[in-house]
Amino acid sequence: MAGSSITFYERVEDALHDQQLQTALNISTSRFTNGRKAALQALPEADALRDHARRIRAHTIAHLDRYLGQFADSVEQAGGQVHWAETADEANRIVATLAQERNVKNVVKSKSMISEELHLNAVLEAARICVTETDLGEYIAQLAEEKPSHIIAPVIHKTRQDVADLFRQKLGATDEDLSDVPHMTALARRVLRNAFLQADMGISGVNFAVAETGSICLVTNEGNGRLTTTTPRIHVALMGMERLVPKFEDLGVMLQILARSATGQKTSVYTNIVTGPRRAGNNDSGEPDGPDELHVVIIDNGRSQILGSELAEILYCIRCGACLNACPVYQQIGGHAYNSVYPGPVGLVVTPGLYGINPWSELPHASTLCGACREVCPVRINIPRMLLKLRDEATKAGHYPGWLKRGLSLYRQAATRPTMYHKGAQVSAWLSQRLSRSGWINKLPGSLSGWTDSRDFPALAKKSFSQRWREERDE
Amino acid sequence: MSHRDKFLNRIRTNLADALLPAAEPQHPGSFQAYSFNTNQSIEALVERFEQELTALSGQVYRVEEAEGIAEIVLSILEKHDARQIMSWGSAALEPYRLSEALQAGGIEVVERYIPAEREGHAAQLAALDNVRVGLTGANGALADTGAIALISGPDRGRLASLLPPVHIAILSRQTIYPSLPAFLAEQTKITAMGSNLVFIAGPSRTGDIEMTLTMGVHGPGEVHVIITP
Repeated sequence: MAGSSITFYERVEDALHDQQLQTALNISTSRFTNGRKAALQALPEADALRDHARRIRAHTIAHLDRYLGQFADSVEQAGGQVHWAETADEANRIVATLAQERNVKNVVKSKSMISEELHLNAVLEAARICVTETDLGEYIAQLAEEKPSHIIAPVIHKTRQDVADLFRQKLGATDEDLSDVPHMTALARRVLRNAFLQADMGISGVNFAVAETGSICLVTNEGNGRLTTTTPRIHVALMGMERLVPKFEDLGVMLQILARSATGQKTSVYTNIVTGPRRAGNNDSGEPDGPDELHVVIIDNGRSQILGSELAEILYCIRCGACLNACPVYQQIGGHAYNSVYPGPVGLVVTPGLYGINPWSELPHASTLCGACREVCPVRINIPRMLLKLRDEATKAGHYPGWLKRGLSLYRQAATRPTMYHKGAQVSAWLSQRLSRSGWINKLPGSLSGWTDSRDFPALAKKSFSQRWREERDE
Repeated sequence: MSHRDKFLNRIRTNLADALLPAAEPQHPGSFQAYSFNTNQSIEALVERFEQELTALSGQVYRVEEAEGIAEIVLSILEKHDARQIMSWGSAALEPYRLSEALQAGGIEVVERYIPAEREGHAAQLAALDNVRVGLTGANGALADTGAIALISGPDRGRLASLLPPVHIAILSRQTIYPSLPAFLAEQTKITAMGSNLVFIAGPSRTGDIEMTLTMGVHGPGEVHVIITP
């Protein structure tokens, strides 16, 4: 999965020098962060709600086997079919087989993080099935043949000019179509409406699933989630096995904080709750529209491995994206630099959790451990704790640079020999004074220059602490 | 062993090693601390609903008598130069006595059953896509977000609130709940009524291009809610 020839650090370097990306990140992350803050402040019981939401998630995960079983029974009772997929391959095979058996030619999709995880589109396209992403941002990413760069706002890295060029090239858009954002959006609506009317199968993700009723809940602002689950004859819902709440009323608690944490909205425009396929009556007397088949694919794909580890807490996540916007690292490098399906702090834990530390050993280091992610998390997941755990794992697996090893061994030698330590400190202080200008060094020599490439280094004090201590004590 | 049993067994085995902070053996129960849910007059709920939906660019009308509904519906149709309206079944809208007024106004009421077989399905959908105004009732509303609740059923199709660019909904002022949690906590059996429950908070919107707010990307770009006595 990691399989990119460019290293993480090279991608970071590219991102930092991408002026357009920097501007987009600035605007979007600050707008989301401020929106979230205002929305939660306006909710008098926000803190109690978050505590309660955390308890619901913690309880659900602790009894996941029981609730999943109950959920599957409820789905079947409502007339839906449940499929169990241990791996991404299995999930893809299930969906592809469903499509082929039903002679499906066109598929519409509403935004689903887990389908990105599966790389489902490639599998369906290989089976000569046409797949259209319908969330506007995801559609743009699909046209550009890129991956989404944010859980909530997939193409925040693109300007309106980028999108206009893309529409001109791929959709044959006219100058009028591209005159402003509403016109561009209207063009996308027309193209995608056609896709909705012709699709035989709609594929969605699942924001929450309810064990007691067998309902799945999808929230969108655009309405593509509703269309995906209404116009095609077949609805396939892809669900990470942890997306559950036990009771119908638990949805109320989770939904009160999801949109507020994600975009700062009080609610998403559409909260769509689906319980089974449309209900038939006698002689067309049932529900007049909606899909005739509902398939829920419950997917593990590494999640049970996370469950059986110290990273299990990350399964409480409700995918709001608040930790991305709050993270000082994400704010600088954006989503693509991580090169994983889930960017930002949550991705730093989920990605090595799903695929193992070896291909992803740099990720846990892409954090300052400042705790902003934990602070904003609606279910208060302690991400820094797990990052430390993963760093430890990475180091034990031998993933650390040689200079760090040599440096630390040198330091160990010095620190365990007092005379050598004091001499070393004196020499360093003298050297740093020679290199500095008004207290700051702007270029360190040799392999230390990495530090001063992007910021100055403070000169060491002329006298060390222990030296001053001795002098003051003797006075 | 079935696929399901294997799947659930793997979870059971791994749960034994899981580190789950704050996990409780018992479900934490209902959330009780809502300040907003208690003791509100219907008038206060209507006020708040109107304020919230208006803030989301929805339009709210209050009528004193049922007769006023048709007038508003006809004026919206006229504004859009529309001669057709995609509607919930007449049984669901019976109490509002709309059919006569719409007929008198020369409006064709479109109600369709979308068949399951492929050709009929596609053809009916394509035909409906030309209708520019949709008309539905509402099974409730949420004061704190300005959302209306619609549950599907034999006379309550999903498309009327979804396909046309304009959606008109008729809401009884008696059915406004303080919040989503209050609604869900009381309507625990609502999923037995139909396969789709949707909460709609104003017009469809997106901010995907440069975070510029744009209305009506997939769902209706206009939402009109008529509140009846």
